[in-house]
Amino acid sequence: MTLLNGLLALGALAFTIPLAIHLLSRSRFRTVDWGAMHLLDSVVRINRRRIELLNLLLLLLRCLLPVLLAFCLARPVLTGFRSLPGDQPRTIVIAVDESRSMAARDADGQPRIERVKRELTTMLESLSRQDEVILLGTNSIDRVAGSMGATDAIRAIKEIKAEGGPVELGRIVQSAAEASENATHMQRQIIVASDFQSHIVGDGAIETLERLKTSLDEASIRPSISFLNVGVESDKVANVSVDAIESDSPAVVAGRSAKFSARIRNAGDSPLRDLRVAWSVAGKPLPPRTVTIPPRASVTARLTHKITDVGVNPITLSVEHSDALPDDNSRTIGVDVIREINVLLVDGDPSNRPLAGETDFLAIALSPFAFGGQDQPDAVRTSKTIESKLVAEIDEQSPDIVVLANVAKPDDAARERLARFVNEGGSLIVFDGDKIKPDAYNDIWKKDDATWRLPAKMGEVVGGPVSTDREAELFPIGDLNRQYAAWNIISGGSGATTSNRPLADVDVGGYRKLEIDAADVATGAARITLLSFVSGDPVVIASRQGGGQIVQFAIPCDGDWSNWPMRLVFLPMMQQMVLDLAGSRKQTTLDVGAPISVPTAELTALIPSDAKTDSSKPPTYATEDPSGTIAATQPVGEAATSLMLGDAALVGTYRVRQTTPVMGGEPITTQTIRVAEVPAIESQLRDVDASRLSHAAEIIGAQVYGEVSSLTSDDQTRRFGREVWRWLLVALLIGMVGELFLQQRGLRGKRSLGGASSKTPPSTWPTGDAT
Amino acid sequence: MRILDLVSPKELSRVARLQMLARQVVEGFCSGRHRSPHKGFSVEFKEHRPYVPGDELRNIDWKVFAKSDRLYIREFEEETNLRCTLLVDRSGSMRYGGERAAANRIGGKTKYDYAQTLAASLTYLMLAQQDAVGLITFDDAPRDQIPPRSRPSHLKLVMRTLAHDATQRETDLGGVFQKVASKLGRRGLVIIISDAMGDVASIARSLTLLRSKNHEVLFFQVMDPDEMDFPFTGRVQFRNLENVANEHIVDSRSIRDAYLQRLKEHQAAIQSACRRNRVDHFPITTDRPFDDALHEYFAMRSRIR
Repeated sequence: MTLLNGLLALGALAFTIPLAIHLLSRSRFRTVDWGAMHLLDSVVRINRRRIELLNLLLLLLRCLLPVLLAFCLARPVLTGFRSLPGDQPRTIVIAVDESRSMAARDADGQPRIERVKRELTTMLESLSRQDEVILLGTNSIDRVAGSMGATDAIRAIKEIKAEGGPVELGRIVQSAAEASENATHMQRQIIVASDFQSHIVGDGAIETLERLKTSLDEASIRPSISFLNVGVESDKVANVSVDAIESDSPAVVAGRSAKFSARIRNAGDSPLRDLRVAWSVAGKPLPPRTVTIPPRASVTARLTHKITDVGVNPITLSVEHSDALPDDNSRTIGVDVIREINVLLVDGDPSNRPLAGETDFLAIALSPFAFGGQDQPDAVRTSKTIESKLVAEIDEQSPDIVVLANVAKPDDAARERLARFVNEGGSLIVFDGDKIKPDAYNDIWKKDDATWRLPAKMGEVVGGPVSTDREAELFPIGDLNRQYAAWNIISGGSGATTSNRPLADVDVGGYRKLEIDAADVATGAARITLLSFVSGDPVVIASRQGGGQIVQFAIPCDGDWSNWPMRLVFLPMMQQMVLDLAGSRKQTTLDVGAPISVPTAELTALIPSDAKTDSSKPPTYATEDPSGTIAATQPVGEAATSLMLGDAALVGTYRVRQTTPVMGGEPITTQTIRVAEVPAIESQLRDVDASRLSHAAEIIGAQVYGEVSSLTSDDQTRRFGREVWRWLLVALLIGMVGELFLQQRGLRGKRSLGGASSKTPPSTWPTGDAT
Repeated sequence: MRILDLVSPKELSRVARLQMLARQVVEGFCSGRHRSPHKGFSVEFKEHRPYVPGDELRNIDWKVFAKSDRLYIREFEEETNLRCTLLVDRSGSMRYGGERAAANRIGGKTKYDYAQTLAASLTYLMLAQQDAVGLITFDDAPRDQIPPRSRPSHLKLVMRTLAHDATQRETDLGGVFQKVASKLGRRGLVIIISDAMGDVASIARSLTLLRSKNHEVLFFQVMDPDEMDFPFTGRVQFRNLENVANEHIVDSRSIRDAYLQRLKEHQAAIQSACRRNRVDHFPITTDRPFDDALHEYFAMRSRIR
C-alpha cells in the first residue's frame, strides 16, 4: 500500500487527543455519599463489565476516527490490485463510433457524440506527456491512423462528427487492434466509444470477434480493451426519419414525368399530425405538403415530377420536425435523368407494306407519339435497319438497345459486334420468327474476353401462325412475373389479384420452345423467366451478361404467330421493358463511407453534340465534396476512363466537373453528382441487448463501461492499485455514527437483575399504595 | 439528677427543637380537620363473660354480681388505649440527604432527619390522644428501646431518644424485627420508619412474624428524591454511608437506567411483601410534607379502632 499524500498520514497522531481526554476524565469525578448502595451495588456489579467494554470501545472509536480521517486524506492505494506497471507510458487507441445514431439526443438533450467528446477529453487531460494516442473514426476505419499526443487528440476529438454509417463492432475492434500494433509503448489500451446499436453487434460481429480473439491471444502484447457504451434507452427516443427515397419509374427520361416515393417513419409513441414535408428537385424546392403519421408507423410520400436536365439530379425530401435526431429528417438520392432511349430495330423480314414488316408494331409501340405525329416527345427513339447494316449502325448511332426481330442468322461480324455491345452495357432483345436459324443463335457469342450465350437454347417451333381456324391449337399465356418490377404497371402492382390477367386475350398459335440448359441452371446463372405459357414453357427469358442484359422472346414481335402486338397490353409492356433495359444502372446514391467512382464518359456524354471540342487538349477534372472543398483530380486506370474520389467520408452531394476545351471558344464545363447517404438503419435507434454486448465483450476479454470515469478508475486500479479513500470515508462516517450511537444509547443500555428495562422511577412513587 | 446530666445541651436543644417541630406539624395538620383528635378515644364496653379462675379480680363487674350473684368479667375494646411502637431506622443509609430534600420542608435534609420528625410528630399526636407510644431505634440491631407509655411526660423521653444521631452501621431490618417482635408484648400498632435498604426476603419474613402476633403494621418507606430518579451525570464516586470501604466510581449516566430498573424491582418486591402480609406500605420521599404520612396514620388508626 502506498499513500498519495503521505504527509497527511501524520494526522493520525491526533488519536492521542481522545486518549488524553479519556485519561484525564478518568481522574476527575465528584464524590457522593450514597445511601441506597444496596441497590447500586448489584447494578454496578452486573453492568461493570459491559460498561468497561463499551467505554473501551468508545475510546477505540474515538481514537480511530482521527486515524481514519488522516488516512482518508492521505489517499492510500492498495497496490495488491495492480496488474500493470503504473508509471510506464502507454498507448491508447480510441475508436469513436461516428455513425449517425451517435448524434441522437438523449433525455438530457445532449447528443451522444458530445458526451463522448466531453468524457474522452476529460480522460485525455489526465494523460502524461509520454502517453500516446491513436484516434480512429469509424467513418475512416480502414485508414492507417497516426499516433499523437494527448493535446492533439483532444483537438482532433473536437472535430469528430456523427454523420457516418454503421460499422460492425468486430471491424472496429479489429482496426483498433491493428492500429495498436503500431504503438510505440508496451502498455496498450483500446477504447471503443459507441452507442452500441443492435445492428453493429450482429452475428457477423460476434464471428469477427471470435476470430479476433485468437489473434489477440497470439499477439506478443495484448492490449486491454474497453467498451464505453453511451447508448441508453434508445427505444424511448422519439425520432422521425426519412428512411428511403425510390424512383418508381424504370427510367427517368428528361422532359417526361417520373414517379418517386419516400418512406417517412415515426418512431415515437405519439402521432404526428400535419407534418410538413417538402420535396426538392435539383436544388429547387417544391411546395410543401402535410402528412400525418401514426405512432410507430411509416407513411409513403409520393412525387410525380418532370425533370428536364439530363444527368444526375439530386432529389431531396425534408421533414420539418424537431426530434432527437434531426439529421435524418432529410434524405437525398441522385437520379440519373437520361435523354431519349435509342433503340435500333434490326428487321429480319422487312416490308414496304404498312405493318407488314417484322418490327413495325414494335416501332409504333416504342414511339407512339412520333407515329401519331404529335409534338409530345417520345421516351424512345427507334431506327430500323437490316442485318447487313447492323454493325455500321451500332457504330454510328451508339444505341442503348438493339432488337433482333426474326433475323435469320447474324454473320460473324454482327455477332462479335453484338457481343462487345452487350459486354459494354448495351441491351439486346431477340424476337423469334419463322426465319430464324437456331444453330446460329445457340452458339457462343464471343468477342475477345466477352463470351456469352442467349438465356435459353432455341428449340423446335411449336404450333404455327395464328389462323382464323377456330379449331387450331392456341397456347394461353400465364401470369406476369411479379418480381419483374417494370411490368408491375401492367399487372396492377404486387397487390393485384390473380384473376386480373392482362394477357388473357392474347392468342398464341405458335412459339419456339426455349430450353434452359441444365448446366446453366446448376451453375446458378442469373436468368429470370419474365413470362410463361400456362403450360410452363417460357415466353420471355432475361439474363444479365457482362455490363448489359439480354431478353429472349419465344414469339415474334409481329402478328404472325400471335395477336399480341395488336393487343393493348403490347405497348406498355414493351415501353416498360425498354425503359427498364435502358434505365441507369449507375450507382448515383451510395452509402457514406463507400468509394466513389465516376466514369469520364458520363461527363463527356453531357457535352452538347454540336460542340467542337479540342481533342488536342485533354479535359481537366475537379471534385467538390459536401463541405465545399474543391480539388483537382485525374482519371485513373489504364484507359484513364474513371475518376476515383475516394471514400465518401461526408454525407451529402459530391460534384464532379469536367472542363473540356473547345476549338475557338470558351471551354465547356459539364457536371455530374454522386450522393452519399447514411443507411436508414442508423435512424432505427435500438440498443443492443445488454447480455449480447457482454457476450461480445467477454469474447475478447473487454470490459463494458457506462461512463469514462469508471473506466478511468478501473484503469487506475490496474496501473497503480486501488484507491481506498472512499472506503475509509465510509468507515469514518460509520465510525462517527457508531460513536454517537454508543454515546447516546450504548452506555445508557441497562442490565438489571430482573432483565426488563425502564428509564423512569417506579410509577407508584411517591404516592403510597395502601393495602 | 438533672436532665443535663443525662443529655448534652446540644442534644437537649435538638430534643426541644424536635418537640417543637412535632407540635408544629401535628397542630398544623389537625387545624384543618373537622373532628379534633384531642377528644381521644373513650373506654368502650364490649361484653360480659363468666369468671374463670385466674382472671384478675379488678375486672370483675361487682354490680352484676350484686344483681345476679354470679361473677362476670367485664371486657372492653382492646384498643381503647392504643399501644403503638415506633421502629425507627437509624442506620447509615438514612444519613443520605440530597439537595432537593430540604427545599420543601422544615428541619434537616437527610432521610433520618425526616424519620425523626415524622416519628416525633406521630408520638406527639398519639400521646395527645392518650395512646401509649413506645420507640425502638435500630440499625443492624435494636439500639434504643422505650416501652410504650401514655403519660404526657413520656414524650420527652421519646424525643430525647429520637434526637440521637444516625449510626454508620448497616441495616438489617429482618434481623431487627425478629428480635423485637417478642418484646412488643400484646397486640398493638407497629409503625416502621425506614428506607428498607436491605434484603427484601428477610423483611418479608419479619413482617410475617409481626403480623402473626396480630400487630397492625404501618410501614413508612422514606426515600430521598435522588434515590428515586438518580439525577447524577458524569463520573461519580459513590461512597457507601454504611461501609466506608465500599465505593464505586462509575459513569453515572451509563448505569442510570439499570439503577432505576433495580429500584423498580426492589420497590415491587417490598410492595408485594407488604401486600401479602396485609401491611400498609407507604413510600414517601423526603421532599414531601409530613401531612401525607399523618393522613396515612389516621386512616390506619380509624381502621383499627
